[in-house]
Amino acid sequence: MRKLRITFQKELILLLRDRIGIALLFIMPAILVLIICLVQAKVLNPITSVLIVDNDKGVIGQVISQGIAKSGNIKVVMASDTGSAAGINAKQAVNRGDYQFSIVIPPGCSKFSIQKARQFVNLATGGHDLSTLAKKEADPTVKKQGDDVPGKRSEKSILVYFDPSVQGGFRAAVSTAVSKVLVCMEYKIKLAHALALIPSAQSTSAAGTKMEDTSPWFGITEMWATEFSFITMPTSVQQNVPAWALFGIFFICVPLSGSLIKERDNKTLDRLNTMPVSSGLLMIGKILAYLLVCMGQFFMIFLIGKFILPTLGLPAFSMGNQLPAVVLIVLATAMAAIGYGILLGSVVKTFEQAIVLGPTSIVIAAALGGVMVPVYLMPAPMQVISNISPLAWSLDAFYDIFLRGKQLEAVLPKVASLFGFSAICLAIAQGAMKFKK
Amino acid sequence: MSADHSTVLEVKDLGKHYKGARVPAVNNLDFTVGKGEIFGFLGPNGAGKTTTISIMSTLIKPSRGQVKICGIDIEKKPAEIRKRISLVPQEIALYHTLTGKENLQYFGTLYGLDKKTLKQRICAALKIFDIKAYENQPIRHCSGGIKRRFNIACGILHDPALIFLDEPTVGMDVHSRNALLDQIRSLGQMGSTIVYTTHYMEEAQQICSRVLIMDKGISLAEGTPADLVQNEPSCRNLGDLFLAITGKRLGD
Repeated sequence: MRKLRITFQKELILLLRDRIGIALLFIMPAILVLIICLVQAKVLNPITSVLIVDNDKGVIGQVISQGIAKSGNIKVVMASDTGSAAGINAKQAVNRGDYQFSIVIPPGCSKFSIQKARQFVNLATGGHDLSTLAKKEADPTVKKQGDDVPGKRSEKSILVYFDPSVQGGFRAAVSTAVSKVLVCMEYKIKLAHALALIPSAQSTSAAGTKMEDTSPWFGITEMWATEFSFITMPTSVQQNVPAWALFGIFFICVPLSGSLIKERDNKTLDRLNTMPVSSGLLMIGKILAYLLVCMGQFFMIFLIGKFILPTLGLPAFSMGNQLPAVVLIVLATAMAAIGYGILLGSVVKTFEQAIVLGPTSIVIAAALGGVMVPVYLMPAPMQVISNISPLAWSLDAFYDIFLRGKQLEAVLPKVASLFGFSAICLAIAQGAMKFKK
Repeated sequence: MSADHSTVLEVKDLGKHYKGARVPAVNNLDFTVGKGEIFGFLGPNGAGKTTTISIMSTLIKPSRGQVKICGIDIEKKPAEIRKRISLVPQEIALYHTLTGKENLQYFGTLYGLDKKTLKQRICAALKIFDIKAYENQPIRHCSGGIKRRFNIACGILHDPALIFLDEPTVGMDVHSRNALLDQIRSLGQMGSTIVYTTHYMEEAQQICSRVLIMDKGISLAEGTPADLVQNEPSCRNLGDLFLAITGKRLGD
């Protein structure tokens, strides 16, 4: 036991004193996860900024801003909150690229909608209160507003400025969303006025109560039309935190193979092989030390995802409630990476070969495995090819937990594959070492 | 020298033929080394010295013949042999980012020494090789001479019956080399048995009680340096003798 402990300690000390190795294992994935999360947040979960210039100051402005904000991934900025004359310069603000679109609500909209609703109800109920309607129709303010849009005297026009770079589909989506909010609003006001004519509704104030119940009758569940069965939409953070942690873990093959090559080249391995200690015990000590480092790497990236990314405006990384499954996946991944590192250190002839072959092979495996571009965004043939990469097995196991809501049992086949990969690498490495001897 | 109770190393008809090689690396090698001897193992490059030492230190298996250390067959009980031997390679076979003391602690623990004994042996080794002042320095920051001293110190902690020193003075300046030779000599005086390989003939003549000169896998001469030189009138020293019996061709 003392021999195992001192071997473990020795390997840890060697690793911790290797500044370049530590930078490679800890700083590189930390920087990568920060950069890629920020970059991909725009791609996977684009946040659109909208400037709302509310010249109406009434209920219409409130309803539009709340309705747009509810549609998700849209950041609503009220011109009145900017503390500048942005309302006047909505067109310029969009043109500058500050906002993807801007909604300008003309003055008197709310008042106009109430008048139109009353007019509708009166006409529908046989001309009651026509005098009031005539009075409102004669209102000079309302007339002037109707004149804002030539040829459309019977309706108010809400102006929407679009960034010229936005696609047609996006413009249509925004127009539809604004129209939907306005139509809902229109029906709500009409209904309120219609109910106001019913005596029972007036006496119990039931109408008012029902009007407050704005919960939709039908919801829309967004699902990706892929074979990935996600129940949670992948975000930049949920995708990149585990992905780059795995990438960093696999980079352990560089210092590990380097350590083996150094031991072989300076004959320390020969010295160890003539000592009363089994080579298996020495290898276990080495593996345990590197395993601890891999766990430390994942924990560090997890902390970055949990606490640093939110400070940069990104959502916090969530590990869910399947901690044992996550730990098992990390362990299996670390073993696969260590197995690969030992294989690399055993088959290559020089340290120079290892520092070229190791990172190159990891970058290729990462690209195939969906670390750089998620597998679910790859074309179908590439999704099939990605299955050869152990990083893909590992990442898919994380998807099971984070995006598919599965339990520990579901990840066991992938975990077994990772352990199997490690065992095969170690067996080949042992064969290579025996052959060289 | 015949094998008796004081024999530490006994090599009989040793042979090693690597797969695919035209000629054997070692052929019909016979010799013994007694307790407390510093036995010089000499030969040009490619003579078969490294192969012989690798067999004797249990790193590779012989094709034929027998090697006994302290009366134990190395093929039958390699684990027992490993408790009794020490291989000090020509390279600095240490961990360069560890300090000298950390290296001594690591190798001493692997030799199975308990904490108390290890502490005493480390103190003794630091004293013998005069490296106490460098014990807390990482090996990579030490001079070549100090590294070589730590290299040997790590190999004597468990008080081995037989030490294989492979060209321990290579690349050292004269002062460091002389100091190290004195220290190796004192190890011999303390009863350690050493198999010593070197390319410096004057060094072998200085410290070895007996030498074996081999080439192309076979033994060409064996005896005390003085006897060997005396038996060859045309040679003034071991260097001349070495050239006379191995030829003046360039080694591998």
